Amino acid sequence: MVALRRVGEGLVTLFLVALVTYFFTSKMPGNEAAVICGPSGPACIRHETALLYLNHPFFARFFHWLGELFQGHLGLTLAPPIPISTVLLAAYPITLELIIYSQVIAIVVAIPAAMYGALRANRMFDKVSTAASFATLSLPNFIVGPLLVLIFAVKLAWFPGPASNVPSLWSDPGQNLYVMFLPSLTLAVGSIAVYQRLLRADMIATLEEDYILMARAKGLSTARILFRHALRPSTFSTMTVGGVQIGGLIAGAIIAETVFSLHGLGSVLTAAVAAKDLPTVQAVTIIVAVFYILCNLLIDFLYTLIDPRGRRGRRA
Amino acid sequence: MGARRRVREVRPTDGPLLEVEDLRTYFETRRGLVKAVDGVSFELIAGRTLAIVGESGSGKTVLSRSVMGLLPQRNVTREGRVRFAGLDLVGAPEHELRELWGDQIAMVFQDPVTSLNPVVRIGRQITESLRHHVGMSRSEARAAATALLRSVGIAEPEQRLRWYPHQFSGGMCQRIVIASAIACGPQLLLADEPTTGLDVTVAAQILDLLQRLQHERQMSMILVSHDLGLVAGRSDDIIVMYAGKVVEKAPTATLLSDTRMPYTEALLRSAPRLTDGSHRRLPTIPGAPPDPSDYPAGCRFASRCAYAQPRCAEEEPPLRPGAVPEHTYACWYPVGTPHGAEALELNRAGGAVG
Repeated sequence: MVALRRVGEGLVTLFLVALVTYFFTSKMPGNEAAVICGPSGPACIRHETALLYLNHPFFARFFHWLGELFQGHLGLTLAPPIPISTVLLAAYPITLELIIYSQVIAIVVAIPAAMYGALRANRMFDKVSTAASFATLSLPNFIVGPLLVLIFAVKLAWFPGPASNVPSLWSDPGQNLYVMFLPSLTLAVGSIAVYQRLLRADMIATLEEDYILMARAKGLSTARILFRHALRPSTFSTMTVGGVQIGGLIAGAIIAETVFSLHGLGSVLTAAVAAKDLPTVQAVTIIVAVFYILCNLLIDFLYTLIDPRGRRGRRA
Repeated sequence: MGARRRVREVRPTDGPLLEVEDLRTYFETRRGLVKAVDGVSFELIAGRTLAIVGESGSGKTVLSRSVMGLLPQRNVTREGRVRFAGLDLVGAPEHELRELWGDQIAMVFQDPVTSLNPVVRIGRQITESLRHHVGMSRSEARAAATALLRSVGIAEPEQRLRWYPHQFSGGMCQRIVIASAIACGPQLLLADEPTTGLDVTVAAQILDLLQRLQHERQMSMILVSHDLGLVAGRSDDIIVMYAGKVVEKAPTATLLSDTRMPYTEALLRSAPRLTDGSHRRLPTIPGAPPDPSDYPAGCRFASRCAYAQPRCAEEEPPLRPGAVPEHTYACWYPVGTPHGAEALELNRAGGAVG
């Protein structure tokens, strides 16, 4: 039941996002028909206007577009006219990989750092990692990216610099990970800091709980207490924030793609905005919204997995 | 984690199972050094139950944890001697204590609901010490946990192992905590106010359960409580604590019939009795225990004591023997002696006591 309601809420959100996106993009200056036809003359413009429903009222146009969207017809890019779906299919892996890799890096770094910091709160390691978190939180992606390029690509030459060819994960996973590492790290830096701060704070609170004392009284090792008893109850706010900041990650991905000249959704979007390619802008926005909603559904699901109290259950 | 060798084998000793000598436990806090336990000595013979009684803040919880060594790792000083089955526990590194914790010495905590991890199935919470200390396989531990749940009076134990703590009531949770504490067959069970927050009938059931398990398993038990009446029928010996010190110690019957320390008497009188008329005001102990970071000179109870004389505020009374050698108390003007009666009379005449 709860799951169904969540999915329903997601659909409502999606509809609103579609409406707002369509409204604002249709208010952008410029005429799509004119852009398509270029110098071809008024006959072409009349033809395209009819084809694109441009002479219909706003809501008629919107629902026509939405109907097409539901059938999987994203339309054509304006110039040259190729299916938007083709463009997106070519571009989305880069962005998706960027986001997933960055989150894997963030989790792998943040969880141990937060645990160790919480275990020895206010001692050396904790103070250093706290300071490092604050420092990285105040660094924007467009500074971190070039900085990483400068250090690891230019000076040390450990990793390839921008504008490298990215093979697909399936054809050459090693090279893919190698090339994507710096862009992913750029995106991860902010997440590491956020997750480390939140998890450390919650972990410190959890370690004060009676059940941790009881686990200690059972003679369990510190590692076992941390991983088996303290980690899961400490992850709730970190997970919530993780879901919320996916929006920020997408924005960050656009910056990282720009810095590293990667051809992902971000570069498709910026190019489309610059070319006044409204159908493409709309399509990318909708895809991003779907992704955002799916991620948050996933997090809701993870919640019930981690916290049994959220589930419907028997009572004694 | 592979099968663990039980490093600390049960070593039969001739003397008492537990000897505590001049145990001190101080916490460094921002307000100063808090002397929670300030020189406590006692012995516990195997198979017996010792009750530790006192008001909130008397140091009884810290005492029970300090005996075990279960204290924060920083800003704590623990001095004195604790000998358990021939082993010195004070100064032993935590990794050595851990082999005893949950295996030879176990603890039942105050609040059963918060003592269980809300996101871990109770089955795992019961089996983890069995797997860790005894090295049981998954299925062996499961079978043992089922038997344990049954022995603490939980029906349908196989199914309940898969439940989470929030699916049980408070009394049930305490039964589960007890099952998990006795899992490895400890020699010593410390129960720190095990019935706080439970209603009276459930509290009685839990105490009966503890008593039954203690007899069946021949454990020794330390029962910490603020309620002298509650432990009176369930202990062999009683220690009365006040402000981090033992003020009276005796076999239970002696303590109740031949009370010497005015504080013990006051505790006894502040418990309601069925023979009292309805709406009768309960006698209370005026004032509050002293600040544990700044104890007064002399007897620490003096400022609240009906018997107190000038000497009490100046000279600290030592523990001295009563009529039987196992009975000791710390008071200059003990209850039930001409000395004490005189002091009380003097205070009444002076209008200090109603």
